[in-house]
Amino acid sequence: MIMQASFSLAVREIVRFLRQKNRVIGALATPVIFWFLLGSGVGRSLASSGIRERADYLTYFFPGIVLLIILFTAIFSTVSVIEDRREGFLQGVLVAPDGRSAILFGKLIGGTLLAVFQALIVVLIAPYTDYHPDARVLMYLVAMIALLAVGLTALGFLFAWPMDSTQGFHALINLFFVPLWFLSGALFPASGAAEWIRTLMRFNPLSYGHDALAGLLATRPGMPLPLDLSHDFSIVIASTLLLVMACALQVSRRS
Amino acid sequence: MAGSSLCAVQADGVGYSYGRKRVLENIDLRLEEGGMFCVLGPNGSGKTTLFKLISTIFALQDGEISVAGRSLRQFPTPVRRKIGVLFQNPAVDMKLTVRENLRYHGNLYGLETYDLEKRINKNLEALGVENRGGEMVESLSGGLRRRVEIAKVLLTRPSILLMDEPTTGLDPAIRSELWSIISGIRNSRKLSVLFTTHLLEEAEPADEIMLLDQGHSVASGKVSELRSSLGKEYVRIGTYQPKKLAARIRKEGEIEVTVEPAAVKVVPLRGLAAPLAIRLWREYSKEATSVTLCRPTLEDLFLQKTGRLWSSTPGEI
Repeated sequence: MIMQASFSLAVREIVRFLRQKNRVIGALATPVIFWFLLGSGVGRSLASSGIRERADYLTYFFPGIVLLIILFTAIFSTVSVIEDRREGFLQGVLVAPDGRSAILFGKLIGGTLLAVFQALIVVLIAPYTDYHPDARVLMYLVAMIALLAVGLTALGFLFAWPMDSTQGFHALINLFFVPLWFLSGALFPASGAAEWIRTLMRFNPLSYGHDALAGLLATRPGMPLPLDLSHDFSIVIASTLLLVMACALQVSRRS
Repeated sequence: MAGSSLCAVQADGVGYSYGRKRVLENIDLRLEEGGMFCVLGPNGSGKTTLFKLISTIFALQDGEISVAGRSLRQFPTPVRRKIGVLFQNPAVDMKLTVRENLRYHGNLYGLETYDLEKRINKNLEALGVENRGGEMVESLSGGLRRRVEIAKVLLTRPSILLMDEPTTGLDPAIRSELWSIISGIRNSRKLSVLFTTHLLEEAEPADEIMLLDQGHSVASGKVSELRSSLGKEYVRIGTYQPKKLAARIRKEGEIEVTVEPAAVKVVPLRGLAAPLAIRLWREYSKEATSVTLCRPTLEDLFLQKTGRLWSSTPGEI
């Protein structure tokens, strides 16, 4: 019954998402425009100073954009927790027999499916950069994207559950989630950063997600998988599990 | 207590605090199977908190509540299968169609597709919204949204219907229509109904009421018994100068006179109120704007129990 309820609520998330055209366009177009403008602009600036070429930076930035899409979609999908609470829908779910578990898993499944779907659409343009993932690499990519999506949806849920203001949640996104992405290696590699930044990046689970995405995308057909892939997967899996458990604990608590 | 088969909802010594603020104190209530119970109180009296405890949204702090013979503390999940809950703010998704809302609700309770579709059709028809199934809920009027919500809540065939101020925000005509729908459903489905309201007239049809004020139960019982406990009929004289008129009327003797805002209440200590009303009308027709023969009301009960007028309590925002 929990699965039926959870999937039903997940489908609801997707239906609501697709019915809000602005949300679809915003979620897809923003990171791509961000990638193109920032990648081109920063790349050209670096190229003019003789450090790096424009095309190289666009390629470097690409896994970070995939990560940003996952982050945006997953986190923004959990804004609906606050809307559901404010509009009254949530209370109807909370009085259902397994409502609390269903709302958690429904949001996790819904947010994850949306994030995976959108990230994969962007991965389709990978061949226009310097990346040419084959079927084997795609399989690992989907797995990592899904894991990151579950983890980030859970992280968003954890913050959204006690909140009653979407404005407050947006402030939190700027304050916490975006810096989390900055410190994942999406914008710059850890190797050239200051020591304290490197330390922060080491403790950021998204760094390992970014590392896995970058490593997998750079794997050419027939080449072996990146050596540290299992390490990256282990850390992302452990972080995701911890976050889901924290969410479960949070929703089980009644006022 | 918890095992009584004739009791749909029973609360004993229920108390609740938000942090240091005590909002409910020592509340007892008993809804008989098939009965209708009203928790009546002004805004801020603790009705919604009590409702959220009974509907399992809040965890119990003090006291015990049993629903359909099961303790809420020990068996919240089985209890949830027995109750249908109608909240003050509609718990429907505005971005979905009427039918989709019902479908998601049925899935939430694990209903199988074939059975669910049958129930959806039947309920939409029973609530008179069968032609609105494909419309977005946000495009419906407040009254229709309420009907959709009732159709949704009844999908799982609850034996107990809990409603928190179900007519909030609706105009009087729609309110009356909604109550006749609820009454019809109650009779046809043998439902036990517990509801809260701050509208005195909505409490009248209930079998029993509890009058809540500042977190305390100030009176409870059958409406007719509570009324008769207030005494007999009386006369209310409308006037622009209640104090002056009261002073004059007091001289009549064998009556009890109370000054009210723009009125004087006169209770006969001996004899009937009707002849007194006629006599007062004849004698004070110049000062009186109206003379009304009144039966004790729930408003009088509130005044007697709290020393405050119902109309002086905070209104609906």
